[in-house]
Amino acid sequence: MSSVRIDGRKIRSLRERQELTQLYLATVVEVTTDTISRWENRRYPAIKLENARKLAEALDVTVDELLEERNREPAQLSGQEIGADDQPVASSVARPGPLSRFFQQNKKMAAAVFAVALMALFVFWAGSGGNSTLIARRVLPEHAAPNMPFPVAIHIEGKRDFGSPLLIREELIGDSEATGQGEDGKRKKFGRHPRWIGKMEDGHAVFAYTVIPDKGLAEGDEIVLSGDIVTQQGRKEGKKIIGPDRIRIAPYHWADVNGDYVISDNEILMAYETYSTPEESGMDFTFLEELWLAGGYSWNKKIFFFEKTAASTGKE
Amino acid sequence: MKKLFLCLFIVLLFFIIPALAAADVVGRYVGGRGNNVQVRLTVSKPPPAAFIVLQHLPAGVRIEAADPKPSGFDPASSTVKWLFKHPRPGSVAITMRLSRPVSGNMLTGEIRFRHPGSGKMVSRTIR
Repeated sequence: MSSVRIDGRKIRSLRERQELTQLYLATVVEVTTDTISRWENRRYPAIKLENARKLAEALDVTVDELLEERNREPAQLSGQEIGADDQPVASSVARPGPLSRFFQQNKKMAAAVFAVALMALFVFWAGSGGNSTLIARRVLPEHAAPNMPFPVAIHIEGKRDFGSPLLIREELIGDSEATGQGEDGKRKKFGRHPRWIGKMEDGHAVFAYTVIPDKGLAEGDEIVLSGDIVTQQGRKEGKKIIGPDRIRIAPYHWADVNGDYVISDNEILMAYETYSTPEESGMDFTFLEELWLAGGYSWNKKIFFFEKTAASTGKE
Repeated sequence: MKKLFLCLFIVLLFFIIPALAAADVVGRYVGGRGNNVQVRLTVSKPPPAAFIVLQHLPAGVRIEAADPKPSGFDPASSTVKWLFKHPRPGSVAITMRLSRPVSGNMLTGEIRFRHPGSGKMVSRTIR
């Protein structure tokens, strides 16, 4: 197996320019984030040619563009020079093998093999699904109160055998802050740029996060959401996330769909159906349950908080 | 053309309608002794995201213990509430110990859930 020397600084530069995380690259290349970090921090690390190909694909460049300037040929290296994640390899590509000699002598045959390989690649690509087979749909409530968190869920649907990693990039316009589950499973602050990297299982995945509108937002203001889903195949353009893209600021709980200051049985069931996941990775529903059990609630605009009431009394 | 419509009708009849109807949560009171009452709940496939169980208590009867623990109690209607989240298909039991023995025909209960296929609110009486 061949190995090549890549330009670590170029890898970092390309990654940062495209706002990709080391985790994304690690997921695509199927190595650890430590390995990506090591590649970026060394001047000319030697890596497996196969990994270089995956890396190039993830960064949307050719392998040649990732190589050390002086060495655009696969290198012959000792095992010690190769990164810890790579197996020691020895390679030699200087002399053409018997197969190469055969194709050089039978150019028509070579062209036919190339055409068949190209067709097979196309069929494989169509079968595995490019960006066009993926649909990412955003679900969010119609309204939310200032300072009170509301959930957002991105439902991703695709072919059942789609195994490539996915990147969701969301952006919030309006004074607000998003939080969600980080890669380590802990709560993470996203600011106004929620991000998620993962894979689908059985053709489905959900990215759930929570947004807290700023206290300074007034009734009638809006928070606008936009985002795209990026795959290995559609690296450059991304695909727009469809579904509702704005939420109105109002003095009602987000789950109180009809704004009557009561969380009905139907509303709490609908909230669970739409925004909760069995893994409890998204929204905390404890407070919502308390409001449902209380029978009613009111909006305290002085402290920016919902208060439980036995009967619905509405806005203070 | 007629054959095509007939085929479509058969597909609807045999696949789609039973699939929608299959999703259900039913409950029934099973053998309890004295103050103890048990409700056996059966969740069909596909299960709803959540469902609510309401147990109305006869006048003058209190609930002293229950497993699982109720989510809440509404004193105005003397109703105990449970909220089951992400249930799995199969059976689950609620056991209650009441402040005094109650005959089976005095107990009334209800299950509420949103049908996972149609999204409509469904209410089932516990029998």
